[in-house]
Amino acid sequence: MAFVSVEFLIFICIVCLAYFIMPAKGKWVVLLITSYVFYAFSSWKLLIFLLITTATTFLTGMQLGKISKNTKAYIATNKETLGREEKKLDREKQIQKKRRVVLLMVLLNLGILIFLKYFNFLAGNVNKLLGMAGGETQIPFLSLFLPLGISFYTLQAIGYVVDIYREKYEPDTNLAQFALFMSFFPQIIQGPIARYDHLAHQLYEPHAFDYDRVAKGAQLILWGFMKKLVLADRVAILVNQIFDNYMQYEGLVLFIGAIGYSLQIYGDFSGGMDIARGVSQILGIDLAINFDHPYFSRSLSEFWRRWHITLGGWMKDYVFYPLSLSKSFNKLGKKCRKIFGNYIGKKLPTFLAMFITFMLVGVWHGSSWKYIAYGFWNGGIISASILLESFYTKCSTVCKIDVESYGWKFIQMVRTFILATLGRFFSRALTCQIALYMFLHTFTSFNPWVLTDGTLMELGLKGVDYVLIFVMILILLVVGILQERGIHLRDSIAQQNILFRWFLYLGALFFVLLTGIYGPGYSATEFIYQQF
Amino acid sequence: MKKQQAVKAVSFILLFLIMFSLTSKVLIRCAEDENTLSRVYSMYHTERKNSWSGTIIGASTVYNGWIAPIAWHENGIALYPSSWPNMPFCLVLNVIKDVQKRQNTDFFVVDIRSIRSLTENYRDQYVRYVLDSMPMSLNRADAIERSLDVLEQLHGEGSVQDDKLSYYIPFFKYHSRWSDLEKSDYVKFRSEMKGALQVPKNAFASKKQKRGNLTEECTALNDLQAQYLMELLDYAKENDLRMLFISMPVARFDKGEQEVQNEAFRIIESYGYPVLNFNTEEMYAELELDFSTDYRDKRHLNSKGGKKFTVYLANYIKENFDLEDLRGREEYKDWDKAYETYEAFYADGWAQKELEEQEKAKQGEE
Repeated sequence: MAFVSVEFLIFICIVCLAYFIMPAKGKWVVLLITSYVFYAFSSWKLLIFLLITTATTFLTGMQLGKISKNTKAYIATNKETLGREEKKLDREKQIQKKRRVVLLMVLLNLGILIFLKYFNFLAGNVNKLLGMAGGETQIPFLSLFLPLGISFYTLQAIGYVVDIYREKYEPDTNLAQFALFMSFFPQIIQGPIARYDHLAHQLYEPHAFDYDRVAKGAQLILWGFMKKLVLADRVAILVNQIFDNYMQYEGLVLFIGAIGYSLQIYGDFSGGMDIARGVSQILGIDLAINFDHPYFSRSLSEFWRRWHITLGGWMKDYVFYPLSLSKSFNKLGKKCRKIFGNYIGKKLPTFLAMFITFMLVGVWHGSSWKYIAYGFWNGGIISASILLESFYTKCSTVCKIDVESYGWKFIQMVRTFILATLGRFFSRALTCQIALYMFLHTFTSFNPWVLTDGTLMELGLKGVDYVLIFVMILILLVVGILQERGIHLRDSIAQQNILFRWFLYLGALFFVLLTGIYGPGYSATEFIYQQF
Repeated sequence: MKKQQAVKAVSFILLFLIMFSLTSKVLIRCAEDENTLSRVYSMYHTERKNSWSGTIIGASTVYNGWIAPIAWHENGIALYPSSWPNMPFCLVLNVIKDVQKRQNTDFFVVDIRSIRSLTENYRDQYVRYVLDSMPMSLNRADAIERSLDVLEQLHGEGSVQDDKLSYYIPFFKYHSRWSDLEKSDYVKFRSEMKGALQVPKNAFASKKQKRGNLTEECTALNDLQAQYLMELLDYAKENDLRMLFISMPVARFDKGEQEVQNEAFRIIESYGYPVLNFNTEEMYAELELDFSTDYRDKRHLNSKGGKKFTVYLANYIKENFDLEDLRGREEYKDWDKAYETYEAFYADGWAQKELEEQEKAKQGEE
């Protein structure tokens, strides 16, 4: 069931009705049932994978909790007889046990993800290598289906298990409730990747009907539809035209395609998030924020802190920190300091951990070399900026640049947007080779006249479409600036008189209904991140 | 939820629905040419309730050939055309039901030629002509379901191109017209000539036609044709409808289609309903149809041919069906006005046409 469909809107109405009329005790059951119904509608044949991940994650959590409890109980009862060394030994044993359990769970679930998502990619590459080595054996390709949302719920499950391992919170003891945490319908398909301590209790607690909250949730859904249908799906027409026929274009047109994709993916993904968050808000559940005006970022690392925040946060907590703080990285740091001196030696392990993290971010997006290149681009630039940080500082001091001035901030934002946009060639183009071709041909031709010679009108959009895109960018810009200044727009609007409010709401509603790209005659596009 | 909040929410939803409905009408109104949807609009929205003697249902041949104001003037019958291009025959029953909601008539004339629509020529756009502006009702839902079902039976599963929901809520199909709206889109269309064709380039076009071969042979109807014909006849019997089945006069008529039509007439007669086949040598002579001046193309009469046909059919109906002469009544003044308007339209149109031809001839001589 697609988010952008009347069926989904009807489904939300049914869920809300059932949720609010259900007595407090049974509210979470409504969410559980409807979440599974939602998933089954989209992909019932692959429901088994969600069930496997849910069951194994739950059991792992229980097992980890049991190990910790047993060890603590043993130490507590033998507090006086056990020496310090023995207590330490017991704890180490406990950690070893827990590690084995975690490893088993991670291997199983990551194994499923890797097998379903990357098997054919790996097989293709191994076959190429075997062919180059003169071997005749070939690994056969399998027709595999990727369960909806597997990349999201697998990370969510691993996060939960690692947190239990770290004793951040107690494991869940109710399988049915935990199944709800794993399958909550607004966020299972494209995130946000939830943390157990933030989401679970909200799902299990009953929430009564609150008119203002429902109204605000509906507004957020409308805002999401506006981003998706008016902006993202409209720009998609231009983007598809350029990327599908890249050989016909060069220079600025290719760059316009990449800018278009930057706009499209923002409208698409953040719009989807707004819909998910709006639906949750109606139900009284506050989902994690996944976007914080990423195109206002002044550096690529800041961009990644504002873009897909929950993935970035997950990677930071479960990949970057464990790597950079690991013993082997410590040793590496020491060695590097000896070889390269204090400054670079200190930075190199961070640089490496960062690089690995971004490669993983890239690979997470899909099974293709282009995603590895995408990770390489982002990781490379961020790592380089870490290494060159002091150089930049010196340069700005020498050039007497006021780094806090609006002008400089604006230049940094534009620079970051361009860097992020250039990286989009890799995530959008069909293959890595095509992405490289487009990337290089962006710079090998100087053709600014395409802006005025009518070329833009031959890219699938009419003049009125460009006007609408411009209007949407303007709206997003104004809303973004106001939100950056701490103004809560929906609260401010709620304080206005009813005529103004209704005019605004109905205006927005009809703006989406009339100018949105949907219905017969258009090929409705799925949410981009749904495919990851 | 407090009472005040509930009132607010309901009011907002109502306001939205009203706006949605109005916008929808503007967007759909001229989604196709004015001969088609506007005609439906005039039928559903501007025609006075319970004012028709009956209706004549069929494809484009009907609205090209049937000139209701003439039938009114000659015989005092208010027989409005309910016709759309390539009207799918499976929808005849739905149109009858829909007409009966607004008009308390039991008299229906059906051009059986539209039975040819239930072949591979059937397209979903023909369904849209009829249904997009039909008011929402269970009958409309049934019409949508059956017409899409026919489409899938004829063209295979998945042949319905548009999202099914867009048939129920046409706004979803036409919403992108917002940037192409013109003044005429905002004006409610009213047929001043009671559904008679009022597009001069068609009404006053004249093209010499070759006479086609006629046959009296019959061939079996396909399953869909048989199913929907029987259904219509059964419904008519059950509801005591007075029906007349005709075949609108065309210049050339595919032999296979004629055979299907002849078989359909045979079945209809077995139900005891009268039939009038205008595609016979006797009928052509009876109508005094001139194949060099009375057609605008091989399938459609022009206004000259239409006049001849209307006079004949209206007389036939008057003689064979007990329809009240409604002339002289105060509430039917709009029909008198429609006749005057049509007469002026007809006279001006042909005069203009003659002038144009004289002009052309002059230019040729020069």
